[in-house]
Amino acid sequence: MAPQPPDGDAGRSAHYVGRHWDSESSDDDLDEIGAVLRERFQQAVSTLEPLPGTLDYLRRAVPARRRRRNTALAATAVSVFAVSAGATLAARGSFDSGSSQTNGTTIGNLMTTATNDAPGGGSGHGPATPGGQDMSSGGGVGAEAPSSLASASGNSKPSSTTPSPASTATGSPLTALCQNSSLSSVVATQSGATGGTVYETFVGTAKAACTLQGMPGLTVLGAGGQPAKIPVYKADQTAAPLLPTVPTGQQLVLQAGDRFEFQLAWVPTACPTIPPPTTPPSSVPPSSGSPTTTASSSGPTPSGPTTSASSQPTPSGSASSSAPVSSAYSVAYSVYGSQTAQSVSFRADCGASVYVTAYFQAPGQKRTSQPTTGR
Amino acid sequence: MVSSDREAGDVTVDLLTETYRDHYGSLLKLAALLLDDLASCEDVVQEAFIRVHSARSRVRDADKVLAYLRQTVVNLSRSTLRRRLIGMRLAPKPMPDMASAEEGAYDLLEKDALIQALRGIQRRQREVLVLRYFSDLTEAQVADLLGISIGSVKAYGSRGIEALRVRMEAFR
Repeated sequence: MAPQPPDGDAGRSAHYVGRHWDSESSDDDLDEIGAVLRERFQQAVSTLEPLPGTLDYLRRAVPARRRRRNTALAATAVSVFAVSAGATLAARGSFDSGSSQTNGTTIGNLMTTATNDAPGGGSGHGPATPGGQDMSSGGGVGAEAPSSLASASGNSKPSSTTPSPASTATGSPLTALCQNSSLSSVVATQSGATGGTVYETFVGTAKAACTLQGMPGLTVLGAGGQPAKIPVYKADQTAAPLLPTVPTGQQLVLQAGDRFEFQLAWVPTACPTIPPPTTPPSSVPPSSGSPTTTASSSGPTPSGPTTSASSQPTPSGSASSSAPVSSAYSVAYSVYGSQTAQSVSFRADCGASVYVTAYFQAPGQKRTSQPTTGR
Repeated sequence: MVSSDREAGDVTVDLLTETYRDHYGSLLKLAALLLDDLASCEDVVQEAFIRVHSARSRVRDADKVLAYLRQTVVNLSRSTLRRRLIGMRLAPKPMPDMASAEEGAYDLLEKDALIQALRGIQRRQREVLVLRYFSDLTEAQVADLLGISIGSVKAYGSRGIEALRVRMEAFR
């Protein structure tokens, strides 16, 4: 039988509970205590009733909470999908080394840089891929490439001997390479001579717009009109200090009437030093067994007793027999091909070297040269 | 599609109404024994109803709705007490002439010595005693709801009763 709590105030109920808990603990006591607690708990909260309008509030709040949660879930799913898709496409665009075209559809790179409009694009991440080459080298993408890109590409770099319209890598139009017919005149004048070195200045005048690039084409011919073994070097201040310093690798764009210039130096090779002929005194008998050598290019000639029929001693090492003969050379300049535009004659005893500058704008003219790329 | 949603919403509303009529009062009283003010009890039970019924699709067994609601009420009550404890630590000390918390509409419950003694014991002991003797749950059900062992339920129960006895003696 469960004990009944007395009616009345809290003090009496506490006394009732306390009286039971003061007794020895046993299962029956715990059951009784439990029954008392049940009843006391129910009595304590018996007056509590839900606030009015709670059910209406729950009817509105539950669907609203469900909508908010579904919206949040959808937004999260969309965000996750967008992030993952973006990361996947970015990684694919950055690291895909294959062709950028599949079945005629350009996949390309989502991160194409603004300076690279070629199909396949360029990647801002990682190493350059075939689909995103550096356009400064003009690498074409795919099987087809615009002709302007192809002509300016590194793989099909326009030859200096191929006068064809092209575009420079910087995008400026490139006029045709100059030919002899593009020039109205080429004048060569000697500009100086020091220590045997002769300086010549070539000044040409264009009669049509054309472009000069590279070094001037020089051919050195011998006396018989045959090519001579005279080396031609780029201008060297050590060998030809009077030559101007002209940067190489420039393109010289000429308009009709423009003048261009280049200079060359003819530097003869010093002949080997020849000792003066020795004339033995007549009172001194020729010493036998003391041969002398000459510096002649014909080689040493042993001196001493000769085997001539007159049996007269002759001076050994005759210089007159091996003296170098001054030869005439001509340096021919051709703008393009083998047709000579101008030639200058030089002389040299023991060979020579030619040092030549690059083209440069003739003084007094507006400079229109621009650096070339891809060389 | 719209009709199915409407049907699902109607079903939810019907279940919500049914659950409200059957269990809201008992859950409110449970919260009142675990907490110490009526406003918090209402908030906790309403939030429990909203959470459980919003996630109605995840409740596979309809018979366990009451169990889910009861566990949610216990968890929310615990969180409320924890937040309130932190707030009391950070709040400035009340002035001596301020009205006591016992004064007001809730004073009838506050005047019950057993309720006051119950609020003075440890939280876990109070939860075990309320679930065991007010909600009439078995020790196994209390252990499952609180996530503790049955032995712990017995220990918390016996120690809670002893602590409650000591406090009731103090009121005599």
